[in-house]
Amino acid sequence: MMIKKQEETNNLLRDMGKGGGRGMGAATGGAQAGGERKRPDPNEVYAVPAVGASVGPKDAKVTLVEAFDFA
Amino acid sequence: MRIVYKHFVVHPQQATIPALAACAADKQGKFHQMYELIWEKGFNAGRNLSQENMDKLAGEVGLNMQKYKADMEGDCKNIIRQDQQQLASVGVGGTPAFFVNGRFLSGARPPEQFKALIDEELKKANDRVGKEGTTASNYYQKWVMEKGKKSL
Repeated sequence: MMIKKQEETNNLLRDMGKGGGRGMGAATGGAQAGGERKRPDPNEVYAVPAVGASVGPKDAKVTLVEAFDFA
Repeated sequence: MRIVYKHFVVHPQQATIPALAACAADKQGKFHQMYELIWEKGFNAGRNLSQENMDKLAGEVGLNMQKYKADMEGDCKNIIRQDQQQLASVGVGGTPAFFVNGRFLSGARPPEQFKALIDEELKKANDRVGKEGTTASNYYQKWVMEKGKKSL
């Protein structure tokens, strides 16, 4: 069971890294809005609504929110 | 694991139309097909992200074109604006950007870093589920939405 779940996670990670310069692990700097910005603290938890197009079970214990655009 | 996609349009002149098209496809349950096609036959094909090309791709995906156009002009504009506001309020300034159970990770990172954070959050969740009324179903609401910071 755990092995299957781990495989599913690994597959998702691989899929996110596919194609273009997009998704997790993409070898691109991506797009940035102009100007100096304060960045979120990686040690804090931020209440980002998990609403939008999604893949995976709604009762997953881990939810990854991806901010994306086509640029 | 669940992955939720939220719009954050950094270059509006280029990326607004495909964002609206992807949103409209989502309204018909075809976000992923459209998302893949926009990258493959739009962005990676000379960055052709025009309305004309999006309409063509929507046809390939098999969308109801009348509904697709209505959603692009209607609800999707609000959805994209709302996504953008929600993400900006917690400090997102570019793409890609990620939150793993509310914890920020900027893009262009090796997959191992994502895996480490995902494993860390999964362990926390496993420890919490079954205690104090926490279930897998209410985990995100209880531990991320209720306890998480609403802004920077």
